[in-house]
Amino acid sequence: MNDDLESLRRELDRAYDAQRASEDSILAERRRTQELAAALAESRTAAPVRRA
Amino acid sequence: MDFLQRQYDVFIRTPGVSPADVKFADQWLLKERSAEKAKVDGWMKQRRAANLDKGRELAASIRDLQEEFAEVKAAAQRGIRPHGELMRSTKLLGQRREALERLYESLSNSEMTIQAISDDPSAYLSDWYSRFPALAHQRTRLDVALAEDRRKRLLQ
Repeated sequence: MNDDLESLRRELDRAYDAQRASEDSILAERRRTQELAAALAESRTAAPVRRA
Repeated sequence: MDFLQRQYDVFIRTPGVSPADVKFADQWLLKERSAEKAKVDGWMKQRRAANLDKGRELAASIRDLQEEFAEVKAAAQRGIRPHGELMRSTKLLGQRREALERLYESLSNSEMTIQAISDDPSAYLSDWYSRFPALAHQRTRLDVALAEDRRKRLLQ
């Protein structure tokens, strides 16, 4: 059972790592989306005004 | 001082014990000690088996959880679900992970208890019979066993 407890401990640690990894990728995705939105907004405001 | 040893010590100090009686008491102590150990080991075997089952279940739950975290991560990387929703799923999965951690802790505690009991079966039985005094008459007694042995010896 002690070997089993050790392997359970390792798997729980891996689950914790998996949680951190998924949180990181969600944050990265959000950052990407925000940067994209910012870039888009900038390109819109910076667009040259067409003269009549 | 445990139950068997106390009986033995009291008997040995009784004036007028014969060498045959002492020999019998020595054998009785050894025999009853191993009987106690066998009894407690039998109980602990059941507990260990139950823990093994729990451990297997826990291992399966942990594997599921790892997969679900990986799914959330993949969904985030592909950008197919809103990140608010992904954050909520991660939070729920994290709560499940904490519940599994607590399960693991209780399993470890149970194993530790089993180990301690197997290491000292006499102490465990003393405690057990002190909680259930009505069962104390079931415990083996040196004077009863000795009376029986003396009678056998007389008949020989």
